[in-house]
Amino acid sequence: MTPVAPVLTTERLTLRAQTPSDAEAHAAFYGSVRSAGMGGPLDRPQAWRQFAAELGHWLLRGYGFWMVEVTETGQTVGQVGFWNPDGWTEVEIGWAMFEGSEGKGYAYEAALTARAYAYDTLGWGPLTSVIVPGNTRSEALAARLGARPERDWLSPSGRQAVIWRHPSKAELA
Amino acid sequence: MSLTTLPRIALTTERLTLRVPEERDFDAFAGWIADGARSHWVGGPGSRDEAREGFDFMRAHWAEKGFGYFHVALTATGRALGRVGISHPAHRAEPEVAYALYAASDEGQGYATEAARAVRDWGFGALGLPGLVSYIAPENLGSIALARRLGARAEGTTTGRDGREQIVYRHPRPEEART
Repeated sequence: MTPVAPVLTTERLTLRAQTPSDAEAHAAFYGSVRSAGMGGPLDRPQAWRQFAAELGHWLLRGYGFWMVEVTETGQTVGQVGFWNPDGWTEVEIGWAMFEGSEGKGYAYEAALTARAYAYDTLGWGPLTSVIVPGNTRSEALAARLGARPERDWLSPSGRQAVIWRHPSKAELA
Repeated sequence: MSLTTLPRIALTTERLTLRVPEERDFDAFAGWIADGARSHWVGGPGSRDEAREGFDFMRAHWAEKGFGYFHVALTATGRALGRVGISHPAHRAEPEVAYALYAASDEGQGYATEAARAVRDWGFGALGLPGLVSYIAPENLGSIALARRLGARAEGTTTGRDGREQIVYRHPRPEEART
């Protein structure tokens, strides 16, 4: 059983599924405070379980989080994709940029392409993004993508979050 | 989505890369259409102009529906092998897993099966399609064998656009598939 995660390419980036060799960079991200908006920081065993959940998400849902790679250098700069585990409000588009990879527009570029895949190929309606209030970088990206805060939401793990709503395909046209 | 800005989506398997057809893939496609021994299942042989029509139709299908035929290449060398994808033109009742290898010399390696399996899993798993079939002429024994290898079973017949009979092979959903 292998997940069929499509590879998406943008001008500068390649979005691809996780491979075992990504576990290290993933653990480094989840071990840092940068992961506070994603339920972190996590110790290594917890990060490994999160990594396994991301891979399993592809199998169970047919979509999930990609690793984002700079095509020219092969450097992994973060993750962008769709998240909808049991108990989630509805499918969301999320992003996480690794240390030193912010400010280059990578997350925006990857999220635009992922969202277009959701709307044009998967045929989804307007997406959400679940953002922990005060995660200002993430809020800024959501706003740049045209999303707006819609309502407060308590995650299954009891975390207070805000659900942002993205424009629909028709609104983007 | 306009024709010039088709999504850059690829599926990768152990040996193959399946990606949205680009202009640079046209020559291989036209070569297949010109070779009647290989393309007669899709109405060939055809001129380069007729190939152009078919190629543009594949791209328009992507633009309209967000999915379609992939250009299949051998990952290691980039060599074009064929086209495999999910096709749902207006005259068909259901989306179809369709596959063709351009050259006889590439048969027998399991390429088409590998590509069709990835496409089927993507269609059910990601696109969430409720059903997938393959429409196959009764004399197209190679395609029938492939469909059967993927676990598809004949469930009836239909009439193709050329008025000839085709068998409808239904693909098992992932929860039923063991291949």
